[in-house]
Order: sequence, then C-alpha cells, then structure tokens
Amino acid sequence: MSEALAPFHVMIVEDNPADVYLVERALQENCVAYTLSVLTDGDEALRWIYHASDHPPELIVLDLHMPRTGGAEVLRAIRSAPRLADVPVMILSSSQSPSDKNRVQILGFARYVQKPTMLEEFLSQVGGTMKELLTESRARKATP
Amino acid sequence: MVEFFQKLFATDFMPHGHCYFWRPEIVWLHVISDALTALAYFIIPFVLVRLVRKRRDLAFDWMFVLFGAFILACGTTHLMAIWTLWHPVYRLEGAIKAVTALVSLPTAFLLIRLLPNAINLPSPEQLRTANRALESEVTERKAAEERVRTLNAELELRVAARTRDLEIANEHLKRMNEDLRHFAYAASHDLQEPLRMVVTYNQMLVKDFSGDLSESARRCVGFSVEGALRMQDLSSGLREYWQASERGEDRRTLVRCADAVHLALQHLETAIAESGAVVTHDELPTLLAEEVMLSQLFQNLIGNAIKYRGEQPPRIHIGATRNASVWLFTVTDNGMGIPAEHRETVFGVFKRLHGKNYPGVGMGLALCRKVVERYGGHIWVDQPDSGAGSAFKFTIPIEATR
Repeated sequence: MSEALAPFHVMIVEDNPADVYLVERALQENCVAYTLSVLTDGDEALRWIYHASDHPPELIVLDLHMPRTGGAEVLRAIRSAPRLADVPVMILSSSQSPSDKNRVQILGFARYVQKPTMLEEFLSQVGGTMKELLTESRARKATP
Repeated sequence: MVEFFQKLFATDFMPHGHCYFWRPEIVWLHVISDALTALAYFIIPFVLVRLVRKRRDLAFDWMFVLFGAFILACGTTHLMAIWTLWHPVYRLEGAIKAVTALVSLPTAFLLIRLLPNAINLPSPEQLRTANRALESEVTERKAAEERVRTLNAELELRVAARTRDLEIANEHLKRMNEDLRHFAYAASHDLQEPLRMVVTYNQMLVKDFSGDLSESARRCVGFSVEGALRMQDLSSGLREYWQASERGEDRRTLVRCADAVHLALQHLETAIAESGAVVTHDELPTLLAEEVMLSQLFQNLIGNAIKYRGEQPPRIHIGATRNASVWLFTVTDNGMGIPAEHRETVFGVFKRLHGKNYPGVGMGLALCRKVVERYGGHIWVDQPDSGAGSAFKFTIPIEATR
C-alpha cells in the first residue's frame, strides 16, 4: 500500500455522538479513508494533549461548545504543545455569534466551520474542509 | 411763718395735761393708749416692708410702701400726743399732723384709684381653680402628645413593613426578569442545536432509507423538517431581538446613516435584483449608535418594503429631517400598505399579517422597534402622502446620539 493511500488519522473532540456520526459520514461521503479517535469532552482532550505520547493525528476536529472545558481552551493547549505544532485543527461550532469566530482566529491557526443545519450542506462543507486539510497536511509531510 | 418754724420746739403754751387737770387716771389712760397704738403703728410698716421684700411678685407693692409710710406718720402723731401732755410743742405736733395728712390723703386717693384693679385681682380660690384647669389641660396635652407619638411609631412600623413588602416584591420581580432573560437566551441560543439534530437526522433518514420509505412516509419526514426549520427561524428572530435589548451601550460609535443603509442594501442585494427595486435616500445624518443595529433597522424596513411590494416594482425612499430635538426618518414605499387597524400590532413580537406565501417569522418590525427604543426614539407607520404604500417613521433624539 502506498503512503498516499494509507487511511488518514482523524481525532475528534466532541461531546455529542450525533455530531461524531455526522463527521464520520462527511468523511465517507467525500471518499476519505480514515481511522477515527474520539475524545468525548474537553477534559479528556486536555489529558491526551498533556500526557499521551502516541503518534499525533493528521487532523483534529474540535467542537467549540462543550461543558466544563470548552473548545477554545483545548485549542490553546494544542497550540502550546510542540508535539502538535503541525497538526491542523478544524473548529466545528454551532454558535452563530461572530465573536466566537473572532476569538478562535485570535487564539491561533484553525479552520472555523459553523455546523450547517441541512444534511447535504453539512456533508459537503464539513467533509470538504476536512479532506482539504488532510490532503494539505500529508503533502507537507511528504515534502521535506 | 418764719416765726412758726423758729418757735417749732418752743413750749410757750400750757401742757396738755392741764386740760385733764393732771388727773392721773385720765393722763395715764391717754399715755398708755397712745403708746400701745404707736407701738402697733410702728410694727405694721416693718411687717409690710418685709412682706414687699419677700414677695417680689406682689401686685401694687408701691401701695404697701405708701401705706407703711402713712401708718408710721400716724404712729408718730400718737407719740407726739404723749409728749405734749408735759411738753406743749404744739407747733411741732401740728407740723407732724400736717405731714401725716400729706401722706394720708394721697394714700387714700391712690387707694380709691387702685380699687377696681384690686377687686379684679384673682382670689386664691380663683387661682386654685385656674391652676387645676391648667393642670388638667397640661395632662390632656401630654396624653395627646403620647397618642401622637404612639401613632407615629405605628406609622413608622407600617412604613417599614410596607417598604419590606416592596423590597420583597422588587426582588421577586428582579428574579422573574432574570429568569425571563435566561429563558429568552435559552430559547434563542440553546434550541438551535437540538433543532439542527432534528433536521439533519430526518434528512439522513430519507437519504439512507429512501427505498424503504413510502411516498407518504417521506412527506411526513418533510413536514417534520419544515417544522424544525421554522422553529429555528423563530429562535433566530428571538436571538436578534434579544441581542438588540441586551447589547451594552459601550459599542456606540459615530455612524453615518448612509453607511448603515448601504450595508443593509448589500445584504438585500438578491432581493433588490429579483424585484427590480430602486432605493433612494436624502442626505442622512451621522449618529452616535451601533452600525450593526442601524443597518438591521434599515435592512428590515427596506426588506419589508420589497417583500410586501405591490404590482409595480418597489420604489423606496429614505428621508431624514431635523426637528427641534429629534431626527425624523421616513422610509416610504409604493407597496401593498398596512390597513389602519393593524398599524400598531405589526410591531409586536411574532406578529404577521400574511401567511406562508410570504416567508418570515414576524420579528422584523419588533426588532426595529427595539432598536429605535434603544436610542430613545419612537417608531410608527402611516400612509404616505402619495396615497398607496406605507410610510414607516421613526425618531432618534439628537442629544442621545451626539
């Protein structure tokens, strides 16, 4: 199996299983071969960021609104972990408030996507963005 | 006359005892009687003087002094009567009598003058009665004062209790208001997510099980999705309304109304192109406000004018005139207009005059009113002078936005 065809490793931090399933569906609809690690809240994500030493994923999908530790805090932790410096992050937000988008942009490099209500839009927008970020990520790794 | 005073002490007469033939019983009767009388007369003035000294408050005290002098003079004449029994100084005796007369006569005269006043002097009994009346009056007054104090204390207690009631009621209202704000926030933010789930997963049902679903099952799912989407719209409308009432004052900057209108026109680009609407405006003022709010206001008014257009392509004009203390804005259109009986209700939350053929949730004008009231103004709708269509008018106080 060539390097390009190996499944992408995607990590998702999301407390709502319905949205985890939608993200999976979005990957499938966009013909992305993937393995998915799921962290179900911000605290679990922080523990993983600070203590795990496994191979980092090729994309982290992060829900912004989670109980206790929110996505913004997790993003800050990711951006201050040298091990995760090159990992692209996609923020998935249900908030329609523009201030959230601004906050995320201030916090650091991350793609901001607002969860669309309509299924087809969700699959194409979320899936398309993930595919784009994954492809870029692997292309960066391939070129020394 | 001179001779009289020269011989004042001369005894060139017969002693008075001769008149009594020196009969001892007569002589001594006179001597003892006169002596005792004189003694009494001399004691009386001292008593009177003492009385006046001790009772400084005594009425007519000068009268007592005068009376004392008169009695002293009388006493002296009695002494002289004894002396002249053996020593006939009748001139001196006469002179002393004359002095007595001089003192007695004014005393008598002044006493007569004093009589009415003296009669009017209250008797001790009268004084006692008056005193008793006064005492009872004082007691009554004290009782009345006590009653006033008691009433006052009761009143204070009642006021305190009432204040406490009001404070409790106020606290209750504050809590209710806070709850309501939380509810509005929840209804406008937290409902979005579950509604998205309902829409997305109903659509997933159709996508994944399309072959298994009958035509009527697909219609049912379609209605579910429609209902959830509409509820999302309602919730979004509520959020905009909530934001118009909750956003802090600190975001106000100088905003050119023309810029706010152009921003609104950008958002309405598609609707303007589709309807062939022409939007014009006068020179518009610069206000201290929030551009987002003003642009929302114009966007809703222009958007409504396009949505509820008549047969002709929409012609919309925005004007502004400056009155004494307010800017008066008018947004005039040639649309279908609003019947007079609905011109107040259209500004209510979730109020609509039209059915499903016109999209919307009935929050636009409620939001407009919220924005205008945020800057201390009023909004209403009239018929335009030209007749057909609507003329939305709103005021913005000048001093509040400068």
